[in-house]
Amino acid sequence: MKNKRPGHVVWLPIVGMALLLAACATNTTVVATDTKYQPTETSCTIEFFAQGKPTAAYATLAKIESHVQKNMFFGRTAKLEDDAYAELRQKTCSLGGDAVLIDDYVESSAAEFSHVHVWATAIRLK
Amino acid sequence: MKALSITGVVLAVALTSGCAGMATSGLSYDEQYRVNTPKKTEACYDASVLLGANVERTKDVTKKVLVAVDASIGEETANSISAQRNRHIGVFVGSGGEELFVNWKAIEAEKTFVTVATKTGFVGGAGQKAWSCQVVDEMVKMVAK
Repeated sequence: MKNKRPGHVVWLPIVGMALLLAACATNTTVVATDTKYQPTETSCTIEFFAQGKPTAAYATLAKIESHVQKNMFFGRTAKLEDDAYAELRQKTCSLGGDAVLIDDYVESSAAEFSHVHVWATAIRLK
Repeated sequence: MKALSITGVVLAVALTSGCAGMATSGLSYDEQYRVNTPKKTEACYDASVLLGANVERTKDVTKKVLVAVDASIGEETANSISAQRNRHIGVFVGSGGEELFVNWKAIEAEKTFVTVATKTGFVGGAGQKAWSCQVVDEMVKMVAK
């Protein structure tokens, strides 16, 4: 006679996986300009300008808007310098850029969830 | 007995979280307001500011801030926007569902009076909070940049 597994034993891992997937989410929109460069490694070195702009001339590659959401039970609080910078670095490297201007950002949190929303410009210093 | 205690806990949570806040701000403009200096009620369900921006820029900034705090824009008029924070299932209470009501009126060409009201619901109130203070603060931060 077959042992039937209780319903909750089957569903618990599925619910757990769904919670894990929902815990951390990143949505990013990239609007590229006509200026194109060869992509570099996704872990390339990027200079961030949180305030102000570089004094040297630069080419604008794209406008990037990104929203990062994290659940405190599955990771730390979403922060500009950690999660948003990581996302912006990856996108800017793929555009062949080497710097990012932070145009605006908002960090917020409620109950278990924290968010960081950033508007940025990917550039390449000349 | 067990069912009774669970019901009691659920009722207690519902009563303590309850409905709070309002859809219409109780704050109105007077000459005491200083540009980009918010006024906030104690629990942050209601806040206002004389923003150093014209109406068009005010609307843009309002939309940006609402989206940034994880809200979806609902109804839009020439001088108001309502939005609701996105709901998230969490380990304990989740979050989201708060309704945000932003209204504005031009005082001068580059001065706009803005009110932000937050309304939280009965169900899920435990995972909700008042956003009015943060919304006006972020609006000031963006305009002053």
